[in-house]
Amino acid sequence: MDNAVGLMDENSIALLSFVLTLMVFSYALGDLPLIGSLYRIAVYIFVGMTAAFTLVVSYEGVILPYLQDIQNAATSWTTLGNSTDIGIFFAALLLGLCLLLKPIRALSWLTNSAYAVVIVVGASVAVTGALSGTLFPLLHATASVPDGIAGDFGALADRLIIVVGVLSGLYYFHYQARANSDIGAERSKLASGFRHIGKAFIVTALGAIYAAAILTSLTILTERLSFLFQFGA
Amino acid sequence: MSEDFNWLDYAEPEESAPEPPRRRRRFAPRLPRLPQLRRPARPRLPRLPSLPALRRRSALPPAQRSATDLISDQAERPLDELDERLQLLRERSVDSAQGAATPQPALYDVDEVLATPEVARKPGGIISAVALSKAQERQVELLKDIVGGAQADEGGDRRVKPSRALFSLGAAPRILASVMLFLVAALPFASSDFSQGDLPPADFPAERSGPAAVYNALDTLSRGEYALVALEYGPTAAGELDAFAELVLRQLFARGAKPLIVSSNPIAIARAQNIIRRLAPAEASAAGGLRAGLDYHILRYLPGGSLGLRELSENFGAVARVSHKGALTGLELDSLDDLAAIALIAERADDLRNWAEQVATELRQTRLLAFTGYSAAPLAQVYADSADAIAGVIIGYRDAFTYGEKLQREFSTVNPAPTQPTVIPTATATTPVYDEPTATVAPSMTVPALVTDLPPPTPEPPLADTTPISDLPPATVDPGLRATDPSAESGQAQAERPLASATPLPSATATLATMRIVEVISPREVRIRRGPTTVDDILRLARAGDRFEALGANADASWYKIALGDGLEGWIAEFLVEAKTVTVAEFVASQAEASARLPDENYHLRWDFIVSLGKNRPRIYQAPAPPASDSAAFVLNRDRSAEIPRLAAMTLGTIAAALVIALGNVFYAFGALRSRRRVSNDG
Repeated sequence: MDNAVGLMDENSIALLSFVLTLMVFSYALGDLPLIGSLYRIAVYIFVGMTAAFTLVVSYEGVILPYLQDIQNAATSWTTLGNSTDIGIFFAALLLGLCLLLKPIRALSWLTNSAYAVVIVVGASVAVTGALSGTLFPLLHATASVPDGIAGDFGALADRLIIVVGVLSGLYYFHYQARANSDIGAERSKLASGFRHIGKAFIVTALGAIYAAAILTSLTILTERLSFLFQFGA
Repeated sequence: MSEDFNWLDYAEPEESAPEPPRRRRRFAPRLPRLPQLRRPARPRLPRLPSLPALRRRSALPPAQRSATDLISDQAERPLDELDERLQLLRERSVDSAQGAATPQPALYDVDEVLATPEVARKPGGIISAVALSKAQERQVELLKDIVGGAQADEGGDRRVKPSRALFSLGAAPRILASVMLFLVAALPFASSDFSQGDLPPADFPAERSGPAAVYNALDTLSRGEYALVALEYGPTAAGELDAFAELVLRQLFARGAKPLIVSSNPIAIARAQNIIRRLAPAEASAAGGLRAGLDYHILRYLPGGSLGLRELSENFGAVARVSHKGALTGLELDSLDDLAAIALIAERADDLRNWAEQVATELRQTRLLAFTGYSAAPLAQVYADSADAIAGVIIGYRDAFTYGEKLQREFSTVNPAPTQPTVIPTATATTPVYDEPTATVAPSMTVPALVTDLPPPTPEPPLADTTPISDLPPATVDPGLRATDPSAESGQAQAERPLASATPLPSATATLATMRIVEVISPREVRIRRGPTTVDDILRLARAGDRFEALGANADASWYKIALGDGLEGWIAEFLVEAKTVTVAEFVASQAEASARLPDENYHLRWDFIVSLGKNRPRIYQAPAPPASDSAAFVLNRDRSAEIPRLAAMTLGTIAAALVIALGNVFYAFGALRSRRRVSNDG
């Protein structure tokens, strides 16, 4: 990869970047003939190069070392890695081969078994991680009351807002109500008001996320503008 | 389904006899046969009277039977033998199929994904009951406008196709808004007259512990330590997050630490190579260049998303063993806790969440330092505030500017390597002022300063925020030492420098000199801070009996300014210490004894506090002496020419975006009102 980059000098790379940047920016003019094609060509180049680079990196950094481990293991099990690593690799290799059996209908159940292993392991890892890394820390941080908060009205207000926001936000997704032929769903005024509070929290949160996304877009835009001006200078 | 297909002309191919389904041979292990269980006897139910035959339609005359019944009773027969009503039905459907155009997808591109139901627009077809009303047609037109403008061709094809014209009026508002935003954001790059808006602060605010904690944690790294730098972003976020990656790597290289770069995004590996290549040329001559495998490592790609991160946290040794090119790195690291720091630069909130869930939960000693863009800020801040394993978060380009400013300031004031003070005879010196701070006689032990004038020194002039300790007895001065450059320092500069600094000379008189110190008397560990307030960074911890050279005090004498060695100075609260005057020999002996008793104590204390305690606990900032070598060039040789125009462009761009959004909403509201009025008029 370094050699490939080395084939082009800095000016050529900058010129290529300049052209590709303009091609991407052409999307601002809409999906029009000729102009729209420029954007699409740039995107196709990026997607194709990303796929190719991912393949190369995966092969060089992940698959090849395992193969080298196996080669070394054939002569000495202690040279690189240990028997556990080699065993894990063989299990992964077996499951990978199972994926290749998908076109053979009689053996496609083996492919499903490999999928099942990946999905089950992935789900279990995700669930345990979500519990220990997200749910419990957030619950603890929300529910805990730090020492010395009694006299700190700002901190108390923060906690109160968090609690009200969480409860009302959850209640907004509570759809159980008494059926009414005229108005559809009938709720008490208290419940309806609480739902509106939750809706306000959700809308505020979404608005904040949207504003943050705009700031990110502007940051990236300014970086590209800076590049264009520097190239022009 | 093919558009020309007519189900009424379809006839099943003749088959002699249906073949029995072939049993698929499957490879399955033979399982032992289980013993057969006896079936339970069925309960006897009473006999019910027989129900009337409801499906005896064939007994009805043909005129009273429905077309569906007729169809269901039809076997495969020639067309002529069909019932008359079925033949009529067939003719009508054929006419309808010929009259109407091919199925009419309404949306270009969208209908390729979502099958559009066939809807006849005019009555007379088979499904005339679902013809669109005028209101529905208007909604369809509105939808087409939103998607990009409907252009039904003459053949009746309602597929919305891209315009043949180079520009269409329908896209004019969008083009106008884009061009306006583009021009406004470009103004600051064209002229500095358009550089509007305030610059970000030069330092992280004291109340915001997040960014300061991240900076301090990276600033405590020393030469040779390993730090994991996770780049979790692709080309789309490079414009925002490359700044962080560059700053973190510069700081690590300047500190002499060795970054281990890792990512679950393969493109980020290419980004890392580009950034290091960008850093290397400028400093190649000064610092000998950056060598992969020696100064830094790019570890192998982590495939599988959260599974890859789980592998990193549980099997870090195997991950660190291989570089991104498949070569062995030679690193002998067992777990993530062997690292001095872990910096995560994440593009999306999901990336941060994955790291918080899969990696941070496994950390015992090291903590996660997060850098992210604005779009991920809402979730990132929540994690930083709630998860103990995340030390803090630095968000967006404005924080990156502050980060760079702080870094630049710190390394631009790097003290030169400690040298023995130069002795310059002066005739008029009344107040001793020494050149640069202390020389060391033993590792991690600073030789105290000496007060060097005879007769007793003239009291220093009162300073803005620091006053000399006036209640201490006057010190004696070693005659072998004299002041240097007494007139060069202003009052403020004196406040930030040691009052006196020297190396004990191998003479008997040197050891008899006295000095002013403070000794910790609090039974609990006390905090030494960067400034004379409780919100300043904690530089170090001290215990009862620890002694420090006193350099001065603040205006109300509630804090002492003390020398910590390694060129650092700190502040300690007055009520925690006792001011004393001791001889240099005593002080050196006590320091040597403390050093022998607790080797690297401060190091462990730092880790105890940085790593183990919760977010709301103090974080110790103990910067080792900033290296005076060429490695500081990694920080100082940055090209910062585009920073201020970018910040100004962000400010103007934000204003322009807000205007575009506001105007768009106004136009949308007018359009909605017009549409509602039209609907009410039609109704």
